[in-house]
Amino acid sequence: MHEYALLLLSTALVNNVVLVKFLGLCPAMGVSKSMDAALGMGLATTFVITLAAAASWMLEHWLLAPFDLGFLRILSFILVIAAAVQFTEMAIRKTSPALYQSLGIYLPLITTNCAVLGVALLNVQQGYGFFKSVLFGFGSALGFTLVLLIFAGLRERLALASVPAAFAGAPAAFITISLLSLAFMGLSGLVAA
Amino acid sequence: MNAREHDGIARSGAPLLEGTARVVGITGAVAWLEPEPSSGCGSCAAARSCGSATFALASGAGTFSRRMAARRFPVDTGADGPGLEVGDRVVVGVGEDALATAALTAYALPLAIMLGAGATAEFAGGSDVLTFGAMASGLLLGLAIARRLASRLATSGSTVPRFLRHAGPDFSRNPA
Repeated sequence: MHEYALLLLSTALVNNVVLVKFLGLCPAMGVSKSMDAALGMGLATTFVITLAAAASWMLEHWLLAPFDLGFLRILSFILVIAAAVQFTEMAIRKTSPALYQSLGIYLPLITTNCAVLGVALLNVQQGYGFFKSVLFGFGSALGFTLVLLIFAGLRERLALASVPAAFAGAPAAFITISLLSLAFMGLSGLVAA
Repeated sequence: MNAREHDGIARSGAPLLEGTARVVGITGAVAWLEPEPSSGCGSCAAARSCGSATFALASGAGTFSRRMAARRFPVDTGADGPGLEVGDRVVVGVGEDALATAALTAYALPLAIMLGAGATAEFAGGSDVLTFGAMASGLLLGLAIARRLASRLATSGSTVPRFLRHAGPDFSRNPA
């Protein structure tokens, strides 16, 4: 139990996918103007990354590794991620047609989120079992959502602050996320990677 | 709906996430709207060389614009409606609280049940295959529960986009 909790803590905070690994910066900057939009995008990404982590583990251990097809890894993982996004879109559409109208917009954006592929590839390097791989994906996605929410909260406050014209908009956002990155890097060493 | 959100405030006072859509059909007091294809980071300076923006502008099977066409939704304009015509650009909105509730119902609930089932199988000493089976069952159960909750939300009407106002012409689609 202890090791699973440490794995979650390590992936969500210490090795945060956005602020430490610098993956998925485009959606982090683009969809963090309001807390609710950030939550919607974050939860959709969490769902897809967790599914993609499970699917990529099965692909790696049951197909690529036994048949020595490692050179197809990136190609097949991209396919798996696209399939996971398509499955999610289909499932939401069938199970919650009303919610699909308001949530569906985020799904195509996830296909081009490099954090999803990055987490799947990092997962292979770790050599975990099935459940730990899924937890690794879930923890990474939780870290992504956490950063999105913190950043959205900061940007909502920043929108009300009086910022010099030269720093308004993107420059202030970049400075904010840089400071946030420094803060998260301060957690390094808390849990061994 | 389109994810270009602004700091909109509904007449009831609740903040709204706004998006633009185009009227593609009118049946009585109901207007059928199609969200405009725009990536979430479409306003970025590097949009022309970005993969997300390229996907957003492409057309054909499986592309973003085709998905948008499949996402047409009705909006009740009422008997004395705002006089919409096919081709009009309009701003629609959905409550921010509704979006959060929808996201929690559709994504967080199935995910939590799936992970709970997986953890139970793992701690019971199950193999990878058994854990996978438990997680797949948990996911299906979670989706079924989410479906029930979503139908309740749909009945309350809180997740349905509402017409807010007419939008101006879209100059961003005319790069010249």
